[in-house]
Amino acid sequence: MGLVQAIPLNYYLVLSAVLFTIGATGVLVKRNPIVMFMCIELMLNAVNVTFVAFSRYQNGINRQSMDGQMMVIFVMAVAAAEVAVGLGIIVSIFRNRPSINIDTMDVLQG
Amino acid sequence: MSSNPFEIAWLVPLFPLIGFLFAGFFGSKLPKAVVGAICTGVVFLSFAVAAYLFVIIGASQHTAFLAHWLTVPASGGIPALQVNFELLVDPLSVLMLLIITGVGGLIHLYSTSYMAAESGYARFFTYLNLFVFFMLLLVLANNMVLMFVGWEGVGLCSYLLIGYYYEKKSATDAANKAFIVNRIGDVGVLIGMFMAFKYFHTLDFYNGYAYHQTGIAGILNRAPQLAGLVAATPALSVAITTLCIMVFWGCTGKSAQIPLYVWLPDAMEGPTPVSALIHAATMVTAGVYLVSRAHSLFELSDVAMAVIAIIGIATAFVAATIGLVQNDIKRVLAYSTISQLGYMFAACGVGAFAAGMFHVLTHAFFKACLFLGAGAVIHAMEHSMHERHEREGHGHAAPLIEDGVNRDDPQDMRNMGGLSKRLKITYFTMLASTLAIAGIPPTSGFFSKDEILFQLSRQSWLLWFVGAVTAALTAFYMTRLMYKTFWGSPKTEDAGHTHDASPAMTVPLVILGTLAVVGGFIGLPALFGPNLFERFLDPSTKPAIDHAALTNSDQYQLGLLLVSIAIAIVFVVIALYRYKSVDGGDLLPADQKPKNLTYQILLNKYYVDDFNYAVYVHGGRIFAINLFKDFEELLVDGAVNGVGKLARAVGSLFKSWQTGYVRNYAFTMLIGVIVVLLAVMSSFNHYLPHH
Repeated sequence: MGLVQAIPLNYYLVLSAVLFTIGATGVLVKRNPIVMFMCIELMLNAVNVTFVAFSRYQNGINRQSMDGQMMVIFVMAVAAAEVAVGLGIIVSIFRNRPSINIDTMDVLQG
Repeated sequence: MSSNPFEIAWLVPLFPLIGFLFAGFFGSKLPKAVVGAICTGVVFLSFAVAAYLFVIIGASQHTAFLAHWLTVPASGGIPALQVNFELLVDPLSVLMLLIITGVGGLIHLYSTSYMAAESGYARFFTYLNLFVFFMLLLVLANNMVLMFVGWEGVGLCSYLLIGYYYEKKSATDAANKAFIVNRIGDVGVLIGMFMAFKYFHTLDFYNGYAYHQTGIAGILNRAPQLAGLVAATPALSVAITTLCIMVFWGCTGKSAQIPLYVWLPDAMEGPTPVSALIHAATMVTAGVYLVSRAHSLFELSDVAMAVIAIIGIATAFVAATIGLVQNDIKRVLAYSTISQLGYMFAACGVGAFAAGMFHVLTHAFFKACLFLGAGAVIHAMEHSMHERHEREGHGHAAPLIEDGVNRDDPQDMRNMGGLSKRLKITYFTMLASTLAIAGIPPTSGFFSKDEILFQLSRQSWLLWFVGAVTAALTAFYMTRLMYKTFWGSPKTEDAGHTHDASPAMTVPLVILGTLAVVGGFIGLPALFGPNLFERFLDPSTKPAIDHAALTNSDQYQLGLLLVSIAIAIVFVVIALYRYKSVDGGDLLPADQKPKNLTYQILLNKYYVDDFNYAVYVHGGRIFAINLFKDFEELLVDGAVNGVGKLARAVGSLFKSWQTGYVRNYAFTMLIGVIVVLLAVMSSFNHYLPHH
């Protein structure tokens, strides 16, 4: 029994929930899109922690299934692509507007 | 081919169809002489076949099955419908074949010269051959559907030929009028067909191919057996009467009877040979043919027969009165045609179908001759006017108006006069035909009209009286026409410079004029022995109630005959005397005309056209405008635009939710996710492990 098994699943889930909440709050309250991206990354990684923890908890140390870990790799790849697109948009906005303050971008209102 | 020699009847309509296809596809690229010769030739070929059929027909009746056409199996209590391409060859259809191809062939021959200067020469002959094809189909069909194909086809050709001069507004208007009025009548034929199928379970006239398969007797085989049943069953009697009146309604359209006669005078906008062929000799007699063909059906309903007789004689009288005052030579003849068609229907209405068909035959001779003669006159006047324009050098100047008369109108009789010295052949043939239509013995018109008057007198003296008055009017207006055109002094310089027509035009005139004089001898009244014509037609048109059984004394017949002769001669003489005694050829002085009420009413054709215009054309337009405003704009557009407005209104209710702030959307999303999660977790609660 290593250290990892010694820590109960609930600890990971609580950590993940805390990280996710911090990320979600950051997305809602921050005006800088870069910071918002960072918060989104935080939320994604909170989910990643859950994935890995569940995978480990269910399979045990000797079982060879890596489903959760595989999903984490997918999430990271998608997140990287998303950041690339998002940063591209932000750069494009910055070229056309004086600032990238998210609250000045409200032209789509009804 | 089977042993039935009457199957060659299919050749009769085939030849004009070939001519139509040929002229239609290649006519414009070939010389006019070739097109004219082929299109005329095919009609004479048909005439030869028809003549052969006439020789072998005797008193027999045959059907010639060509092909299956419509087969609808029985379903839901509706009996099966079987319609075949099947021809009916009997004395009546053979007679019509001879009239159509014989008179039609002569008119084709005449047209080769009359239309020679026209650029639409091939188009004209294409339509003319197509017309002959459809007309032959109409009279040969052994079922109502095939008959209706011909019926509509001749209507189409009539439309095309009235509108032949399509660059003239009046011609296209007249064509539309003819087509629309005919369509109104055709509705009646259609309803009649539906009712015939309902009550007879077939549309065949006589037992033919379908009868041998299904055993359902043809309408006209069945009808005579129904007399007792119809008399005993009021509901059936009403149905049969409605059926007959519906079919007759179609006939009033096609054969220009009250109330649908208004199109025929306007149809004179077409070239004159068309007026002779379609609007005098053949198409307009289709209604008389149909009533005679279906006589055993019509005889089931006394009401329908009475309607036919009354409409017929009323039309004869009304049209004759209008014909008294018209100045356009073709319009006089048009009203005369309507009037003569009225006679034919009146004869059919009193059960004398053979007499009606006899008048169809003689009328085809003398009226075709009159129209062709009028065409020759118009042609001559046109040439003369054209030469004057060349001399004076104002080809397209405004028309010359003198005393309210258009002096450049080649059809106005007030521009003519004295043509008898110049158009000798035309004059003598038209004179012969005038004597025939006026009923001067021993011409064909005398015998056929006298036969009709005799038959009318047996039914009712009132019918006879109106018929006799109409005969008097006919004698008067035809003498007036002849006087204004051929006698007296030339009213214009143009009339003095006319020349007679070419042989291609005069040969048909002479043949038709001769037939108009001698054609009546095939149908001598019973007074002089058996009526050969009636005997020939008996297999087709012998009435169920044999009027011949009601013998009338020779004195009675002779008396009527003498009265007819007296009327005709007296009124011809009166007209001659009256027109000789006045200068200028008008009975009423010019200043009296606007004041004379009778004259104005007749000149304006009883204001029927004005009434139709005000009520149907103008009324229809107002109805359409209101429909546009109230229905189209208010209802249809309102619904379409309303849907758009509704979407906009609903959108404006919720549009404040779209703030454009990213954080708002993110927050809403978060709330949504939480709500969904809670919902999922609460419903799957029992799956969670219990600690």
